[in-house]
Amino acid sequence: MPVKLRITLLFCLIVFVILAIVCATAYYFSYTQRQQNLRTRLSNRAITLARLLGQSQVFDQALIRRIDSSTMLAMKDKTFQAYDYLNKKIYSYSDAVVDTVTIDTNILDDARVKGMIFFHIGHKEAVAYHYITPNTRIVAITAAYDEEGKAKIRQLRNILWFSFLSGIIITFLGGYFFSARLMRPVRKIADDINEISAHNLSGRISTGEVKDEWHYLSETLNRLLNRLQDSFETQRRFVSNASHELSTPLTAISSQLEVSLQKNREAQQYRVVMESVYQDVRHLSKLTQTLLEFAQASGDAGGLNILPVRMDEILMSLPAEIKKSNIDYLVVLSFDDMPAEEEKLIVFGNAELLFTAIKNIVSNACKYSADHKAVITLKAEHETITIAISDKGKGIPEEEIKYIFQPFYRVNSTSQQAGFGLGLSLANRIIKLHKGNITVNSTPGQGTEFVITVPTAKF
Amino acid sequence: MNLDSKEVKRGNDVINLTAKEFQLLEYLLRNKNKVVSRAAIAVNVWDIDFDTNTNIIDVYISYLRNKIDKPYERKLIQTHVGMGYILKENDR
Repeated sequence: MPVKLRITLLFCLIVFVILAIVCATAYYFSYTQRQQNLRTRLSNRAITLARLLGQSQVFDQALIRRIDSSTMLAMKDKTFQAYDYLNKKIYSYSDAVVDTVTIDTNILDDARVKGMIFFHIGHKEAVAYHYITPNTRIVAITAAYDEEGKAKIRQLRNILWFSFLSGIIITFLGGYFFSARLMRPVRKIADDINEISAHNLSGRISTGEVKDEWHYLSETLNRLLNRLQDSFETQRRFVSNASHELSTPLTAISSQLEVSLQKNREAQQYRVVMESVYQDVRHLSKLTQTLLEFAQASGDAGGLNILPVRMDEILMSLPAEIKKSNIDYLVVLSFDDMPAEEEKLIVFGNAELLFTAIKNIVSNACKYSADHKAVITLKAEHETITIAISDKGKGIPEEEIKYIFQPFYRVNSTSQQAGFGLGLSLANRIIKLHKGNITVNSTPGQGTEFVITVPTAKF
Repeated sequence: MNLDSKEVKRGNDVINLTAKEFQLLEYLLRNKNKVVSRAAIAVNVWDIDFDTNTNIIDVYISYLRNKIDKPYERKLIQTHVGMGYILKENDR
């Protein structure tokens, strides 16, 4: 069932209940009031009649009948009767001559017990009143048809029915138009999104002029689309860069092999070619290794092996590892104020990835400085660990700092240094994965400092 | 102390140590009942360049003490003020 119909039906149900309660109450009160009114009038009349009859020495029956006939009670078909204690009819008057009303003796007995009772004779309402004086015991009966009251009640009932039904219809129509208007933006947003696909991410949802919830929703979705488009772009760039990086050594290998296969050569010459090819293959395998790590560090931490990691231990294994890659490289650890509690050194994370991240930064620091020396300082502060890696290298030009974390970006592309331009990008991703942050301070000609902050594990 | 499985036990309790703590304990055990100076520890356990004025050895000794000695009444690692540390089986 569409939402607009559901809203409409809910509206109708609420209005139905409210109107039903209001109409029923109004009708009930009018109905009981009319009845009460009539009964009051009838009983007054009965009391008067009984009193008049009780004073038979003053008022004879003819006089009473004259009084009755001239009484304007605004009631139709009045009938007055009186019975003595032997159930004998002692008085009878009717507006209509043919109107013969017989009263059951049960009613008379009942009236004698209760004093006053209300009952119906045909379409008339009636009152029986037991009047007692020391001399007389009379049951006076007055009956009449309340034509005016009934007509009013009928009229009221018609009015109530009419307003009830028209209220429901108006609510239904109003609710339907209202909810249709309410739901229209949803349909529009859905249509807009349908237009946008993975191949055409540039489209956006029109947010409209009014700053309402739909506007907010559209803006949120547009922001999501922006992020999606960005990540698609990044992915596309990454794939094209990676394929380029992969194809360069492959082309080199293939052309070298092609040239050397053109004729028979000396064993020494094959050796030279094979060594060159071996270099390229090593380069390739290193590249694919880095790409694998990159893929691992991308996305969320869901598939990773996350354990408590001691950061100081990771840092302490670095100098030897860096020395392994190049004997000239020197890493100095400076742990000036170690915290007394080892908990302050523990990070929830993947030890291998964290090691790779810091190693990449440190080996960059060694690679791009003349003395091939990097200094690592560790500080454990309130809920964060700060690792600073500084070198006295040539520094990074300020305008290039914002690019250095992009994959395949290399400062000073003509540099003779080997590398893919993936190290810092990978490090950045890994640190981001651990909810940390990397900042760079660099003064060209004097040196660079990378500052990594990661939150400590909370137990 | 099991050097192959890198497992440390005191009595029947298995104690979890980090790599460096393990190396430090190993060094202290190899020099059982001997006072070892901070310099000796730095050279043998941290065979890497360190800034001077670092308190890392004292900090690591305290980490190690927390894990090895704190839950027990008999303290194995003791400080010889001005000289270094000693690991002793029993304190006479």
